[in-house]
Amino acid sequence: MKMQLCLKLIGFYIAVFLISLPVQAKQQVYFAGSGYLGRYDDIGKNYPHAVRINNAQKPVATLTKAFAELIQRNEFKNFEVNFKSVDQNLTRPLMMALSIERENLAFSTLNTPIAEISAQLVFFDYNTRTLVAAKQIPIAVNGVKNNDGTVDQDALFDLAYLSEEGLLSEALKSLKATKLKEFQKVRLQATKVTIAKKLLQKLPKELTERGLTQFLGQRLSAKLSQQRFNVIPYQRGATIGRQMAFRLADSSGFNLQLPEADYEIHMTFLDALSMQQPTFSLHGVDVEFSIKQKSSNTVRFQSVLTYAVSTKKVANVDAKDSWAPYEDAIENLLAELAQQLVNPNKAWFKEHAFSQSAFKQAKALSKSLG
Amino acid sequence: MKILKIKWYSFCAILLLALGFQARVPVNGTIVLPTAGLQAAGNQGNIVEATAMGQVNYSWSLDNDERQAAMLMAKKSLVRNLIAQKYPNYFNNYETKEEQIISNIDDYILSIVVVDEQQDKEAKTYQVTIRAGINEPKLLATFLETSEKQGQIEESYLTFVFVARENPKHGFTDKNDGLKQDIKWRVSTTNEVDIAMGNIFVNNSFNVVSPSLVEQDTGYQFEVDKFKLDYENGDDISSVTLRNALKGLKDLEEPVHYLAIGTLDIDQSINDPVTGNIKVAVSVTGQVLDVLRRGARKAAVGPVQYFGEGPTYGVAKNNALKSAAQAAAKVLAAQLRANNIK
Repeated sequence: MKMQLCLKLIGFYIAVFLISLPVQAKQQVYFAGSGYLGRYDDIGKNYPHAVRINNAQKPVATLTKAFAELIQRNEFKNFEVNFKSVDQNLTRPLMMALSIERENLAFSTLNTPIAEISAQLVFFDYNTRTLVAAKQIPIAVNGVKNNDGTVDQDALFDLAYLSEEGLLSEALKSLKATKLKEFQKVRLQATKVTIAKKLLQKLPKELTERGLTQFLGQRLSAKLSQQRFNVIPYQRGATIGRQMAFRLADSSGFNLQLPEADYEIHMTFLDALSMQQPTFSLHGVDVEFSIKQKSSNTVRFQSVLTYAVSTKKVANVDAKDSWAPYEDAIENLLAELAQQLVNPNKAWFKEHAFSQSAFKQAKALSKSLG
Repeated sequence: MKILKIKWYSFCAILLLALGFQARVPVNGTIVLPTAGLQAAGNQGNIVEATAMGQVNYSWSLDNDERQAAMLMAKKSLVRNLIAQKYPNYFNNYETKEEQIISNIDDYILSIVVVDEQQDKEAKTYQVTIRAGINEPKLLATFLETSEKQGQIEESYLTFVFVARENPKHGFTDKNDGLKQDIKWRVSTTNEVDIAMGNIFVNNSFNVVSPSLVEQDTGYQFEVDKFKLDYENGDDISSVTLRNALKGLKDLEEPVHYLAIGTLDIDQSINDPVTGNIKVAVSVTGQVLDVLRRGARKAAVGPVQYFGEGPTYGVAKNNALKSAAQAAAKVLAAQLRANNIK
């Protein structure tokens, strides 16, 4: 009887404890809307579909409205999204915007269209217009060709932006997974991406050096971001000094001040090679990485890394985009490198690194990166 | 069995008591157990971010004291580097207060991130690199307190006349080709400039007096409109205007010690291709004259260009004027402080 009473008391106390856990005031994050990264005069050229979709509705841009509705239907553990005007009494209000940084129509090895979009969830300080953090969100949505062989790009990109597998849904997932404490971590930035001269001659005609370096820089940033590193965006050409041009869909434009990186990553795409076999092809890439701690100017990691992918040959299919397998190889390499910077694996470096000290360097570096 | 029951009840009682001590009942009656507070990121005052390094030698093995010593060295470097770069005039003051600051350094340094740690086991050294935010206003207050106590700093009245000038035809012309001399500027005083400049001088502990408040007391010997008239036709104040102004300010019952004068010339606007905004440049020139010493120049700035951006011309112009006014006032105030003038 007394034991039962004791157990009941404990149970009651635990129940009260759980119910009355303090509801701490969540940090407010103000929603600024959707926008575009890069030069104002390039927006129409770089993001024709985002501009088309946004301009379909007025006065609030379509992507802004759709993303706001998605956010409002969900709850966030670590912060609260505020849709009102900024509280001027706050010393440093934190703003958030969904910013498009790349739109591209690619083709797979089977010649099917793929809508590729890269965006960032940009968190910035309202008063100083300083970037606090950026979460990269790359997506790719497969489409089909019409009977006449053409591609309905508008319909494909509408899906890519607005469908359940599209950008807005991915952005919501990324937002839900965001912890504001991550913004206090060590900062990484891809600051230099170059293509070796001998490789430039092998690039397909439709792929420019600028386009490829931008793609590589953004991809690396995205893969690092997925591993919860605090990443400063790579923006070749759109940054002047340490500023990144940014324009909201409601036409407010300003330069976002970028903070200094703690670690700078230099990437050189050295070569792309292929080997053809009767039933499959092997496509490999060699990329040199150098990671430097900025304030001490110490190179903490340097090695050439190699990666190859195998592609099955399909009969009677004329692969329009022979560059696609190289892109797959690069993407896999960047994704796995980002994982290795969190938890280095000796076997991986033995397989992929030219430098024998690569694993040791990565192990020491991963401790500093936290 | 009885002993087990007693032990069980004792355990329950102790558990309840332990939880009870930690609980508190706030006004609304909900029982709240203490948890670690969530630190709001970024809601802090004027914070300057910087990176610095600290290194120590150790003998046998690296222990916690040595790590802490390296961390303290890094924090000290953060503060020293900030003073050396941003406030070189205060460096001597910092050195007299260094011990006090270092002993309370965590009051000045916020949000530390350890960027790198390097241990050289052969050389027996340990190096830590940190990035942190520095509470600049608090640090500044320490130096202001120091400089106030040190020797002969006089509290002075200061008034200023800074005019905004716009070429009705827009655009600058080369002074040497003489065309500029033929320009009749459209001159005005603006609220943005007055407030921006006034705040800087006030924050540097000057007693700022609005010119409109002293004009009548000087019998209109000092009159803003006369300055505007002179600036309409050129870059210089006429000797008559200046002499009368100095005399008027000097003869006041409580003389205004310093007169700051200058121009902010507004250039034509351009469309910024990067942001799509309208961009306006403002060129600022100014000087501070010592009223009690026959108008001797005590500080000068410019010509320096500053830019402002905005969705409309008006917004861009005002932003440019504000930036230029603030920057010019900071330079002038710093030069005055360097001469122990306040």
